[in-house]
Amino acid sequence: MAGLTAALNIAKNALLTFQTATQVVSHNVANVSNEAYCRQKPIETTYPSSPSPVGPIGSGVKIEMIQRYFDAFLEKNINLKRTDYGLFLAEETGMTILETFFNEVVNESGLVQILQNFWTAWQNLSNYPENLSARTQIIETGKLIVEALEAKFKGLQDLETQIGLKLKTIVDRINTLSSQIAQLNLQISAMETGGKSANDLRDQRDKLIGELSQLASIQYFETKEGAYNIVLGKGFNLVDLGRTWKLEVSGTDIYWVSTKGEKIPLTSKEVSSGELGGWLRLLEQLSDEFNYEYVSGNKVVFNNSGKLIGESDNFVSDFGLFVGDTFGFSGTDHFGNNISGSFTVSSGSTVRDLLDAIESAFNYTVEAYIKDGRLFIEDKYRGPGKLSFSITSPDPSKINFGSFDDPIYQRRVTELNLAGRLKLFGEELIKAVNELHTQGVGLVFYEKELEGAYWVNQYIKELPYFLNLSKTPDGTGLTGFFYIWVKDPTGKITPVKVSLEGLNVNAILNDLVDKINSTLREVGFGTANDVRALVRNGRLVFQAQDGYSFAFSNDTSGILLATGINIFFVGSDPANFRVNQLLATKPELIASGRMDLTAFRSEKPLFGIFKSSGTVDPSQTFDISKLYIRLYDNKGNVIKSPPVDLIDQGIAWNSTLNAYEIDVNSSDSLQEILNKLNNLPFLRAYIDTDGKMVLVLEPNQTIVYGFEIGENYGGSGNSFVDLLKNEAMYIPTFRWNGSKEERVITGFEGFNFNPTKTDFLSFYLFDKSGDLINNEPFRINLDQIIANGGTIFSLLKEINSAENAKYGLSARLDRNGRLIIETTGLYKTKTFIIQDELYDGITYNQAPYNYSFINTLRGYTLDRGDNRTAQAIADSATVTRPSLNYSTLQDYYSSIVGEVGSATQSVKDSKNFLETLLSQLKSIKESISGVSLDEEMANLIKYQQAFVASAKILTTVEDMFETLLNAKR
Amino acid sequence: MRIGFNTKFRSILADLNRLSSEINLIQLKISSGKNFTRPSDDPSSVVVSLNYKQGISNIEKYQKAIDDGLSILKSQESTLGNVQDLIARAKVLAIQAANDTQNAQSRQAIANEIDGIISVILSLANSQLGEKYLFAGKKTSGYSPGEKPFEIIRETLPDGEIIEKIIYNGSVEDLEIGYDKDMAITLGKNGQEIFMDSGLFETLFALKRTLQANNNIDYKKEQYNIQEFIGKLDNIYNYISAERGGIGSQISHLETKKNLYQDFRQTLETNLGNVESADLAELVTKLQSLTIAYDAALRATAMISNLSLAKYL
Repeated sequence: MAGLTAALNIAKNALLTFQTATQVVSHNVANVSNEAYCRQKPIETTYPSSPSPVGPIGSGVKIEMIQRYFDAFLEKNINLKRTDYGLFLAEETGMTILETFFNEVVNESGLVQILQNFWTAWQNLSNYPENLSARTQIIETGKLIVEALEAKFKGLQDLETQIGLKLKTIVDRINTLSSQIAQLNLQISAMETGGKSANDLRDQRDKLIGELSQLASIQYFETKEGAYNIVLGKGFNLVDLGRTWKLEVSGTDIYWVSTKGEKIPLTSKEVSSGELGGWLRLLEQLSDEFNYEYVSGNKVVFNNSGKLIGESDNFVSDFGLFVGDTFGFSGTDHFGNNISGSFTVSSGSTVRDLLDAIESAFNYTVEAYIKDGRLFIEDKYRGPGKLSFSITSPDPSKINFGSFDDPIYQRRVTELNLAGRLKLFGEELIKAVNELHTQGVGLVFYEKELEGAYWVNQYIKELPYFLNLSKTPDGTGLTGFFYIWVKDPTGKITPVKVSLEGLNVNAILNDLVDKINSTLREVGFGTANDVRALVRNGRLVFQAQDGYSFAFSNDTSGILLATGINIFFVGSDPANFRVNQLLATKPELIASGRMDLTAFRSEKPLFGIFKSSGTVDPSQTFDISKLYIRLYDNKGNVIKSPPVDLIDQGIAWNSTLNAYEIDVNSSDSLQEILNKLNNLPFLRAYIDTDGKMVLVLEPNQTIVYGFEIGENYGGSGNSFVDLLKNEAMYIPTFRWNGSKEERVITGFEGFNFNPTKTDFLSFYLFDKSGDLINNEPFRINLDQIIANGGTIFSLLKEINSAENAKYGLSARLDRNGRLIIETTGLYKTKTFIIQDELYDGITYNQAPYNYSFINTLRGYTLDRGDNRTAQAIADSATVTRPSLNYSTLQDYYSSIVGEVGSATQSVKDSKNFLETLLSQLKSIKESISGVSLDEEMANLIKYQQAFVASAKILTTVEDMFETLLNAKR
Repeated sequence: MRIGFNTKFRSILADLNRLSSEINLIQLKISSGKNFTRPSDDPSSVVVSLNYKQGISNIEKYQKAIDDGLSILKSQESTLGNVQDLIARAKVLAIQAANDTQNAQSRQAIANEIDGIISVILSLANSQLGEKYLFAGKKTSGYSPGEKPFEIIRETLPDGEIIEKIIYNGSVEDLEIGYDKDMAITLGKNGQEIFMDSGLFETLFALKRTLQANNNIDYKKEQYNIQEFIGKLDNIYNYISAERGGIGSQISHLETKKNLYQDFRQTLETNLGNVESADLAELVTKLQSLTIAYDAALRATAMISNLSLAKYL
């Protein structure tokens, strides 16, 4: 009814409205510090008007709805930034921990400082090779390096484990949040069916979404029921109305579990942002396995029993193939070389046999294996490469590995991650020191036995550094050689060259041992087991009996490094290696020098004291009329003009023969002839107290280094030169018949040359980097010199000749008649090794150790002052290495430190930037959704006054009713 | 813009945090004296400082080698100087002995003195620096007891004549040190080249024998004209001179290198200091201004946190 009752009604409704409004204000004030809360405002509208004679008349106020001030667009923006912030937050935490491993700023304990000390210790050894304390210093610094590197790798590994735990926490939290959001979805849809918005529940849900955004990169959108559907990363469902999908963690692998129960692995490619993405990205920097490329088939293979294919499955029984079926395969290896091969099924062939055939076709540069039902070909070389593969199976319906070109099932590497680079650094460090050390010798040779450090089951290809062995151009065989130096009980040192030619890459260790032993036997060792090689427990072992010892040098094949002979660091993995224990107990074995020579001096003289083997008859006469003495200088050249004029003594100079000519009577006895010879300067000839004839150069003169004796023989009777020959006095001698010289003694007679094979003197010349020059030694055919009537002096001339100057050697005799061969410093020759070789028309073999030229002269010694190996190792700090992109070891490590530092710095900067940005965005959000106390206070006053006013209307209308009632009385 | 209740306090908190962490960082720099405490503080400077440190260490390494090499070379040079003096003395003696006024006894006395000279030269050739023999090439040690690089051998001929000679047991390879990357210098020459090839000992022995025989020339006994000896001694003197000159030039080469290294090292150390060491004056000033800013921020916070409408209702 219009009028007073209506007014009363309106006032009553107004009072209720203002009470509700006050309640909303009080709700806002109570939640003023709740960050997730969006302010609410009561929206008032009028009641529908009632008709009246004077037109529609209003019916008061009611609250239509409570509006929540919320900007969805702004919120989405903030959530995107939260995701990025989460990424950098996680990365910053991880990188800060990582940085502590590479903190080289604190001086004394950084790896850089330890390395410096190591190189300095080697330089010390190079300056004082005989000093034992310099050697122990090297061992100690070596151990420090081992500890430092192992600590770094252990640190990386521990970090990986910790990240695994962190991942578990994050995944659990994501799963919890998803469930909570799903529940809220249901509640909100239920509550909003009445058409009103469920404000506080929405606030809760938005808060959970915000937290989830920081954890992982998600996308969400609102459905018409008011539920939020959430998708993770690149399309993995997380929440759909009330349904959730779970994430699982196993170790450091994350899986998304699909509705069918299939587990899809998640990497940082799929989840690229948020804290989860950040930790995953960090994880991919810490493990070296990410540095190896692989290709795999894109089909999962099941065998006839319905199980996933395994390596021991038999082709015939488990797949139904027939004997004689052939698999064909082809591809390219890491370097782009084409490979191809095939495998024929026989009755016992297993899948493993096929895999072995594939590995063999690749020359063992890849690993083939089966994982989760698919065939994997994984590169053994680190870093980016050109690996590819394809296989045709005989019956695709029975067994089909699929295509190997599918990028989803490949891993390609663009650059090495942190762990890979650190590993590469460690491996190069070990290799740099070991490569040089295996070819060096210390203060003593190895005695009794030396065991290689690395073991195999059978094959050489299982050795570490197998990939570094020199191989033939087609990659199927091994090449190169190394030298063993054997010292026998008399102290004589003989070099033995063991060549690896002919060994296949697939050879077993015993094949190598057989080669070593057969070469040793060729040189005359090994038959009595004085020096031999054998395989024991899969390791290469060298053994020598008492009195014998051995050393190594000049390894062009790389096999010493691979088998672990004479190495400094044992182990090829920088996370797990140590200093060779043998060197720690016996520091004299630390290699400081080398055995190959820059100069050689024979121990026995080539032209020394000539003594008859038996007694001689001083009264013997000869049928000769003249004796000729031809003189030689130290280089084997004839002295062409008489050094001293002896005409007064009655000794003429024969310029045809370039010799002193001594007249001899047929009645001159041996003693008289010797006296005549003695009269010559430079020469001493006499019969000693034992009755033996002695001919020798005068030691105290400086011009003549050798001489030849000639006679003109009558034809019957005794010949002087024959006497010399018979008494084993091998002075070069000749007979002169007036027109022609006939060689009688060459000087080579005492050397035990081989009667059937051609004797060669071979010089193996090495350049600065230790490679064999021309891949061939410089050989002199000694039998040819003898056949041409030459003498030992001709040999000297041959070495010094102009056409042989390119070999960079020169030869001379010293004052005591010993042969000296030196490098001239010209051309590329830096060091050399001299050996006697025998040629049978097909191959050159080494002469047995007690036969032939150099072996008889001897002359190899162990020079304790030789510091070449120590110097080379000390210098390797500054040598650029191809595997490190031509930077030195020091620089490479510094660049790793620098990279970690700059990556950390950029992450920190990004995080700070995002923090500021987020803060600003939140301020903008607050200006819309935030509660302002002053505003609420003002509203409170407003509603209070309105309430008072409406109450006033009530009392006024009540008075009016009173008046009305009193009017009747 | 509407400023909500939380906006005020959040931005205050953020700013206070920022200021206090900056103060902390500067404090660390001052107390450590270095511009950076971890690689991420300034990665490029860290790498540069590492490179400097490595350069300095490499130089130190080579400096040591040079010092050792120099001491060997200097000892060799002074020993050869002594040898030269002895050769000059021998020449004077030879000239004396050539004089006809001498007789057999006086010549015998001179021969004895020559013998003495030979032993002194022999011991000079066997001189050592520490445990290393100076003139034995690469075989600086490792001789069996009683054995030395240069030894004298005596042989008796049936007619009673004694032949003496010197043999060289050392190595014919020269001693080397590395004094720079990929560069090695030989430390003098080995004994074969200096002593044996010069003919020094042979000449002195022959001279002695000739004198003992009262200058009689007897080719059978290898006694030659004494004038020849004087000529030969001259040649030998020049030969040793040349060797000594060679050593001298190696010494000057190494000394130049040593000075170069010293200068270079100083430069590197200065550069390292510039990069690495903290400039204390600058840092303390910065610290002061930051503390003032912090104080001001705190006061401002106190002032505005009081303002609220609720107080006046």
